[in-house]
Amino acid sequence: MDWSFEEKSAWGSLLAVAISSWLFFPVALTHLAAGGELRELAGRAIFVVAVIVVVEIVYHSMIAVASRNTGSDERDALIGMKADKWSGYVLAVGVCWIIGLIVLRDVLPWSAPPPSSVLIAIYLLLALTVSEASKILLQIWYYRTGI
Amino acid sequence: MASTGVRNNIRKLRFANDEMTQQQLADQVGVTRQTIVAVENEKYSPSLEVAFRIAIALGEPLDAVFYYEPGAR
Repeated sequence: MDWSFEEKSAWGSLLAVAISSWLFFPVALTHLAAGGELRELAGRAIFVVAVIVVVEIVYHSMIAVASRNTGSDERDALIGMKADKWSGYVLAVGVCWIIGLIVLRDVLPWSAPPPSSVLIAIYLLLALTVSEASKILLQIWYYRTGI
Repeated sequence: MASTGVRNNIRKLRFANDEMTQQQLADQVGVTRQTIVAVENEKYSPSLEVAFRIAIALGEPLDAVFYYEPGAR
């Protein structure tokens, strides 16, 4: 496969985001929805951060050994900027959705009570993660299809 | 596939230049080989500076390397 170092790096970051999301969010949301406390998730959060670090280090070491790091150039920078712009919109939509959830549930008398501050924090983390994943996916898309 | 309206003769000129490889051109220009591939395949329009560097590396004026076809995206 004719991939630049930056493109291979993007695939590794996507893998790290996918694994960490799969390990953290289903457990965290289920735990908090059942009335569990945030501090009980601390161990899992530390484990997930460690997994991200290990996956990134191992993957990048492997691709550095397999192919020389040719660095990045103006095309990589442009792809990064375009992906950043769109992932910013994704993050904004996520944040607006969470704000809307809080406000509407507070205003509408027949709705469920607003989510707890802990659940809001998890939702924000989820929005951040989706935004990061969309950035990496867009980078890969631009590398594959052109810009 | 994204395509730009900027066309080029890079492949032809590389072969006219002692069959210069994409890697050799990339090294001379200071970009990655994948960027040269993307430019050659008209999937990326380089900056003016990189376009000039490609032309210099191929020993040709800019307009012999690149030309524009309006509406050819």
